Amino acid sequence: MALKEFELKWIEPPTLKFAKGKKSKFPLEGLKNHGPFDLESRPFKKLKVFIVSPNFAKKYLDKFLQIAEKLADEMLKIKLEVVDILCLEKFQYRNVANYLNEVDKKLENINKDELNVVLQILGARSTKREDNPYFELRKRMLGREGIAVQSITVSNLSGKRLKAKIGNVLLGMYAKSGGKPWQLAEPVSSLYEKTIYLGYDISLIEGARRVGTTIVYDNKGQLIYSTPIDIPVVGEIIKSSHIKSYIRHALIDITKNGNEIDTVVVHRDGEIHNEEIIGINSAVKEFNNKTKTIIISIPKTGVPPLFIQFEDNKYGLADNGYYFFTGYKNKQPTFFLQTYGFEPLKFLSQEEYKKHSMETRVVNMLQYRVAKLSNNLLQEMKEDISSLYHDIARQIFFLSRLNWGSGFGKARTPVTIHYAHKASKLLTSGINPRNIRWDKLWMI
Amino acid sequence: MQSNLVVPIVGPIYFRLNRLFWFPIKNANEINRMLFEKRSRENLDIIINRVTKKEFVSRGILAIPKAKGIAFLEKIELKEPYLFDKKSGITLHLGQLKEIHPRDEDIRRLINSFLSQKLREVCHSFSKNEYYFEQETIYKFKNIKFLIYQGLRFQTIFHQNHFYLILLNRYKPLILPTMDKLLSLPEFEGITAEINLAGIPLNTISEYSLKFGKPAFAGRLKKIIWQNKKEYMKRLNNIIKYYEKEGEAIYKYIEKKLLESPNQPIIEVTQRNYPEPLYYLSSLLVLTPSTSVISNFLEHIIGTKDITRKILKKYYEIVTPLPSKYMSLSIKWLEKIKEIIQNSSFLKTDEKFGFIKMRRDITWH
Repeated sequence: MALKEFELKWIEPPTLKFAKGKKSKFPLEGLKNHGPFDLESRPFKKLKVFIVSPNFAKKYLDKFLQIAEKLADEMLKIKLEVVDILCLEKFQYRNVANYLNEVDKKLENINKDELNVVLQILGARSTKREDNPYFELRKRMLGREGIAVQSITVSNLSGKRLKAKIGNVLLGMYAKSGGKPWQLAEPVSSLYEKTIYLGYDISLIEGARRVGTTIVYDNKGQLIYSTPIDIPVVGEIIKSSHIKSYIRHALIDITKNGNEIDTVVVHRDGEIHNEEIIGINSAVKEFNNKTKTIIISIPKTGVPPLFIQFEDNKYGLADNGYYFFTGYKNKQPTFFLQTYGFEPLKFLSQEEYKKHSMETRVVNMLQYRVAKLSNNLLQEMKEDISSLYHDIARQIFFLSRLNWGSGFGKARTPVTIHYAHKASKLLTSGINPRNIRWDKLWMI
Repeated sequence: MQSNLVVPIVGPIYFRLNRLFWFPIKNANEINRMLFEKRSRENLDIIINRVTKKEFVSRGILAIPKAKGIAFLEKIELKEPYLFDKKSGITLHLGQLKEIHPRDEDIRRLINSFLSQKLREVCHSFSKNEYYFEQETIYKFKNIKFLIYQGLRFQTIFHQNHFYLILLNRYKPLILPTMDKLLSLPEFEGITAEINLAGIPLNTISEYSLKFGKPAFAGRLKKIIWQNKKEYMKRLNNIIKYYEKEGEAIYKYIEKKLLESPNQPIIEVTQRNYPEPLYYLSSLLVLTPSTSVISNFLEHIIGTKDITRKILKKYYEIVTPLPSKYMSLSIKWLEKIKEIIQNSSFLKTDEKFGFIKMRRDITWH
């Protein structure tokens, strides 16, 4: 059946799974009521933190830690233990070599095997690449010690929405330590049980290019593999032979870990070139001829938000889960999906719904293209291709609900892309996370 | 109960383009061979594209490069059967005008080119494919103004005989006055400017970019070359030589700018894809700070955190509007597009024209 342009469809947001299989629609509610998904299996008993802070931020730290300890207990059911605090003067922050020396000196007396994460407090946010403590501490800790770093600016240690900000920092630190705050209660794809979702991104380093971290999730919404990989790239295009060997290696590694695969869904951040499509397809075919492939490209160009129009010609932001087909671009069917819009927290009356959705700041929809469906999949679904497209929208929407860096749990893109993009941006600053375990989300 | 969901996608817009008029380039193979022998970085397509823009698009004639030639919407007559590309020194010899059947790609390019051309006639332009129509001043300090321009970017969705336009609201923060005047203020005297402004994006003033078809984005600030610096005269002479080659109109314009502000600094900028830095007269440039550097910049000129925070709040509210405000801007853009279509000979709308509306069922509790 042909796709109908602008035919609105809806996917119900997924239910999330917390400790002892208890479910909730909302991450914060689920965490508070039941605790994190890995409550009984997590490999650490306490969340041990080493803090590096500017001296002038000391006055905010006590209150911050007081709230953080309380929230850690309420949300994550874990004790937050501050192993040590290193306070530095402003000038010591400016000299990065000195800054790192001071950190090293302090760390000598700490048992690093027991340390979960370093909390770095920064005077201000800076995007510069050179001599920036944000990148330099990460380079040192991830490259040498295998410990992830969580940063927060001094301005976020106080002020409005403090609890929410601290909650997000705690979730970040938990995921960076290898914790799993929540999972999906329903499978990502309702059609194919043994599907894996592989996301990758490319970032620029002074003229040469490299691929960021590959992030792979299984159909239960569990992270099963992540690795940073360098690939030589000509201009914007990855050669098919290079992408082929890299996908093949990833598939072999994933199956070695005991995962079965019947469908491979590849998420590409940005436009995908034909060379890459050919490479991915032939890697999957060589791996197993029966394996089905879906290749999705998520172009960076923005698309507008989706609104609800009320009777008095006022507008509000439509809630999440709506999607529609818009047409073809380069012969690839293009869809818009509202992943990050307004989310009614409870059942609302019409008036309440109107008020909240009108007061929500606009967020653009996500645009994605189905760049390629393998022949075996097309053959199998030819009678019901719209179910396949519906399932693809569901996969993307469900995977966007696994953002462990936010208390709302939402990202605009699926986490495969969201994390790969973050990682690849960090990798361009020279960070080499060679000593950290693959299941610790160091880039979050 | 049913309710309307609306998305700022405009359509359907119907088009009638059954034929195009195409000038083939007779010496295409020769040019290709010559470029290959010279190991030139450029190819024939780049040269055709440049000539098309310069000779036709900038004069309001709708034209697109097509298959070793140039295609037009309407039959045109040229005085001479050749076109000269100043930059490469290559002359394109044109063959007989032919009537051809357009491909989907040609139609898409022509319509995109037509819409950009028409929107550019009524907008301020600060970057490629973005069209700004309205401005809001959010802060004024002495002579310095912090403005946000509001406008749109569009994408097209093509179908067989119609298309849709995806409208996306865009916002551009801008600091006025132009760099020559800004740098003469005590806040930006001497070397301080380089330290505090380094890396900030700069745009050319829209008068310069629109009138002469020059790039709207200049690059990121690397260095300020003041009049008392050794290299100043060398850079200035190079700039003058460059505009001499670019034609009389632009040369006169630059001359005027130099007379208005005689000792204006020269700005060295860098662009991601250019290995060499570029040099601009500061009177042609304005600061367009990105969100990430705007707070540092404001703090530098204002000095107090409290006021900076208030301005940033206002800035944030404009660039991340509430739904009704977003839609009110989109409706204005829709009207502009409607007018362009109504005045076009090959585009038309019907009674369905407007934003895409979709029905949904809601159960209120």
